[in-house]
Amino acid sequence: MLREHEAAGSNPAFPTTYFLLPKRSNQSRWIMNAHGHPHALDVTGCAARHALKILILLCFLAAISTPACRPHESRQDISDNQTLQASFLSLKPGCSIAPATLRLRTGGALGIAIENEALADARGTWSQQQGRFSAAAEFTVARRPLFHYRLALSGLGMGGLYAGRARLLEYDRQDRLMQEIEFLFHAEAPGARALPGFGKDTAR
Amino acid sequence: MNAPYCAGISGGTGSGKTTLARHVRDMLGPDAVTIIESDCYYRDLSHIPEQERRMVNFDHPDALDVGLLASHLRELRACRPVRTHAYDFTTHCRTCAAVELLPRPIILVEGILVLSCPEIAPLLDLKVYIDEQPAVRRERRMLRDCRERGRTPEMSALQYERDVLPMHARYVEPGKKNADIILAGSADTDRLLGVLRAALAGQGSVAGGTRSGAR
Repeated sequence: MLREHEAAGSNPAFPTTYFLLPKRSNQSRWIMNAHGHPHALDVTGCAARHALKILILLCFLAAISTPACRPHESRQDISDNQTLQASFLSLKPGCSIAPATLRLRTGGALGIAIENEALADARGTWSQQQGRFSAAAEFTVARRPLFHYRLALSGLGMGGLYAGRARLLEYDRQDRLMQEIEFLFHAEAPGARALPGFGKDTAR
Repeated sequence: MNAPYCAGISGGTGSGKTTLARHVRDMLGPDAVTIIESDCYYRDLSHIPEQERRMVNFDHPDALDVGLLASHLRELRACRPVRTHAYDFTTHCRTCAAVELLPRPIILVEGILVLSCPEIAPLLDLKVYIDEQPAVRRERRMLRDCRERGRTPEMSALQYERDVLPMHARYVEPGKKNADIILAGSADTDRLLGVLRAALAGQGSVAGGTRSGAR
């Protein structure tokens, strides 16, 4: 994957950002997309409306996850074998992750599928305690075997709604370099209670 | 406590950054100085197959979790303690053992990239670069790799030629132009100690009489 300073070709010092991924239109698609780069993946971009949605969802979850509102939960119980539809909003211009399906399996195993991508060697774990949700998945995208990814999610979850921060770490086996990009994410289970103004129609 | 005085110590691999930082701590007293080793902020590579981890270019800035280092430095500057993790250079993973860094009057951040890194450099009150001879640095590096980091001489030499040299020219050496003080080696400490003692004096007394070690 090209990096900003390398693409610029002449900046001997640090780039202002290590992630060189140029800014893209919000119609583009997928994971660490370097626009026009032969290795680039293209994913559905996260429009600005997702930012507002995720922020509102986070506030909502924070509010309902106060001890007074929180139902009694066992260490890891409320979401076993649940399927979530997740979307991501990059905090770095030019990067995006396509909508993903997360399968929270009994015992803490996590399954992940990303729209229009075949993942190889995907494995992960998840947990939820006291309304705090965390999950991590490792995978290779089949058509980009030179790259290895780790996606870590942490945030709040309740009633089938989840939101928080996601960190995608990409390891480039060819250049032996890593880069990390932060995202906000929100995920919801089918049938999760919708927030006012955030029904299924507005989710994508 | 007043806001800590933050000094960054940079220089190529094997230039004596850690040695200098520890010497300063010995001279000024352990309760006056907190050392942050940027080597502890390498990214955890537990998600990468073990045989691939040694292939990673550890001399490129992306190998470091600079955001975490910067946030810890900001916390310490705000007189708040931080918890971090040690790093195991044989497995290239963060260890489970938590390390607590306490805010003290002098914060020393040492690492090859601390003067070049745009997230770290603005947080430093003093920037120090150790300009050691390349041959000396190389010899020290290979000794350390073999003694402390589980490498063979061949692996160390390969990594030095392949990664260390080009990344030094590209990222480390340019940091020298940002330095307030350039030292000829880690033994060249008088100027640095003078500045730090002055900073310490400007901050008032240090708890526990730890400045008694300063001369």
